[in-house]
Amino acid sequence: MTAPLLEVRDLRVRFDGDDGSVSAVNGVSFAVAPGEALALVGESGSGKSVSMLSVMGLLPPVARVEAGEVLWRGRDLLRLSERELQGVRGREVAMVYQDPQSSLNPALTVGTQLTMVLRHHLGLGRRAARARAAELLALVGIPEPQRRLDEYPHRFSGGQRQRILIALALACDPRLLIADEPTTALDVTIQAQILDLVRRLREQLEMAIVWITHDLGVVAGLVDRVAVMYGGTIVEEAPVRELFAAPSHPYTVGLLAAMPRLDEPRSARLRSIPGAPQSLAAPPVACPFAPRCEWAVARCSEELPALRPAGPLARAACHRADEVRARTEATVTR
Amino acid sequence: MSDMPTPTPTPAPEPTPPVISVRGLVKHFPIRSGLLRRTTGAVRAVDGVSFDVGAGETLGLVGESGSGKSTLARAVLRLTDVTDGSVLLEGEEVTTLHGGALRSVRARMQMVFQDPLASLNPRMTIGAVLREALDVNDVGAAAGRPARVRELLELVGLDPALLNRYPHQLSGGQRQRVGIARALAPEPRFVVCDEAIAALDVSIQAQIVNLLAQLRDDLGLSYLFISHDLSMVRHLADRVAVLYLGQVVELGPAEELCERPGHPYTAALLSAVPSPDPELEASRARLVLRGDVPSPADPPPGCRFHTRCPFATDRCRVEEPALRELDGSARLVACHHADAERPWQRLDAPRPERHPQ
Repeated sequence: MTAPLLEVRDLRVRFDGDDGSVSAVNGVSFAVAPGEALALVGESGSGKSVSMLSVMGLLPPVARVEAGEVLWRGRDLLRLSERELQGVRGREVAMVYQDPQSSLNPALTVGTQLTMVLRHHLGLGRRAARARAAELLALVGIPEPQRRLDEYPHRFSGGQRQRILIALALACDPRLLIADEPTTALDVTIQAQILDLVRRLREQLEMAIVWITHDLGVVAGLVDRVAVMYGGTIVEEAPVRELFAAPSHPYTVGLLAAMPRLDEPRSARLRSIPGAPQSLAAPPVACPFAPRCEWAVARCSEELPALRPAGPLARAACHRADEVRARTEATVTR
Repeated sequence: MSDMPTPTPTPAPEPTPPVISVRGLVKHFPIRSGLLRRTTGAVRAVDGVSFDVGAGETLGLVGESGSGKSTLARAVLRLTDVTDGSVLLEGEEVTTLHGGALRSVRARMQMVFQDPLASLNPRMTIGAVLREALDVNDVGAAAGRPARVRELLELVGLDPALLNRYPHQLSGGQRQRVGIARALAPEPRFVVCDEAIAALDVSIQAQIVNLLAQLRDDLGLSYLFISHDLSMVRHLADRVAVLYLGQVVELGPAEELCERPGHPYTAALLSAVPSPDPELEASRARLVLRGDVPSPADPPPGCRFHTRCPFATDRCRVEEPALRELDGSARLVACHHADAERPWQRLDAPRPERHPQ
């Protein structure tokens, strides 16, 4: 295997708020190879977004990285100065956010926003930057790019604004694109367009992707590998086909079962996961999912399970992962 | 993973008169411009919609943003005045009511909103929110209301001990349960759920949908269930109406409509739903619509969908298709080509026959 592009090692992040402090990320480790697409899947509070904000050095002031390393091509980003970090962020690693409405400046034309990035990061001249900006708009499928450069964000639809944000992210030919729920605010039809676009761009530009989402359905056709997060930890990590075919963690099993599917007969009731995720005041000393888990035994509330091999290429953090997997392999319901 | 599925066949709806009967409903918003603010046009948000919802029935309503789903819901509940058309609640015309008569009708039709945090007063305890819903609608004797508040909480699966909590002290799922309890306080017959699960986590969505299904079955409620999540709509709804630019383009039994879409727009919506199956996703041919929904202020001539429809012909560009019955079935489709061999049905959308149980 080639050296990873990004390697996160035992990352731990705390939030100190007025209502006490929260352990948001509790020892997360993962790696992304050049050109690879990884999904971080989890519900609100699972630590998926906070993990990636730490990578980008964009944590809010109340958050503190307590431990860990974020190695970008071997360099620890956590130890870089803000100035050094700016050479990486936006240029080698780019980010796309959920809300295209609030991520674009409404007072500047789309062309101005694109050329600013190009001139700042790549040192292009005015004319070259404008030509490249039009190319970028064409790349993400905006018709009449030359003309539309002079329009303001409100003239574009939600889907087009998300395309423009992707164009902004791609401006400097990044090696890694971090996408935080970029299709959540969009209609399914527009989501399908954006997913198609990202698949095409990934092939065309050979860039790696970290796709952050709460929706397991979206990632099935998009990524190579999936890491499922719960309580600030990765509870399961596997190649995408293995994860969907034979999940090994009860939380993954529960998430998959909670989604009704168009390709299955209807059932009277959905299988829901009882309870709700809780935010943790301290790093977990036992399995954070145990209170909601139908597989839980005494050991689960006493001992934190480590992420360990659970299948050919899968790893799961569950004391009973082997039994869970044996069950999901036996009941190939899909 | 509670709530084990008990696949009991849903009993056929009894041939009772519909709870809600909507006919030719129109809601236009005037566009004013110029110095004199003269009306120069109209946003045709809802443009001639008809449907019934029977007792105990759930009608799903799907469509992209801008299709008029929420405006339709507000017009049906008379939260906005309608431009034209009729809404009958158990036979009583709603669109012309005012004052006290309107208030008493409103108690029988309620709404569950998308964002429970925004729709609950942050300064009122859960108990006060529910008590207010009882007081405003004058439900039962005042003396019995505190007990009724507790009953409502239990009905939606909340511990009555939460009575004195404020909305911000609850989880998203708990808050949505309060939103449902408030809607149920005046003992409505008809409830509109407008994206009621969209803001919730996946594991909580299933809990809320199960609760809605149980309340429907226990209390005989009728729902208009608006959602962008077609899988969820197919799961919960008996019938589905597909809305495009303010008009119903297809209406029919949920499973049938999802398996054999009669309208290319329905097919496109279904095709856009990502399947949690990497094998299928890799092999699937998609019908990806180009572009966005056109402006409802200036809908395309002929079939409103023709500008985005890959199957459109010359006829579609000039002649507006009527909503008509599809080959004698219970399905209504507004497409000139719905009778012919429908090419959109050959799409490799996820359908049950691919995965026989």
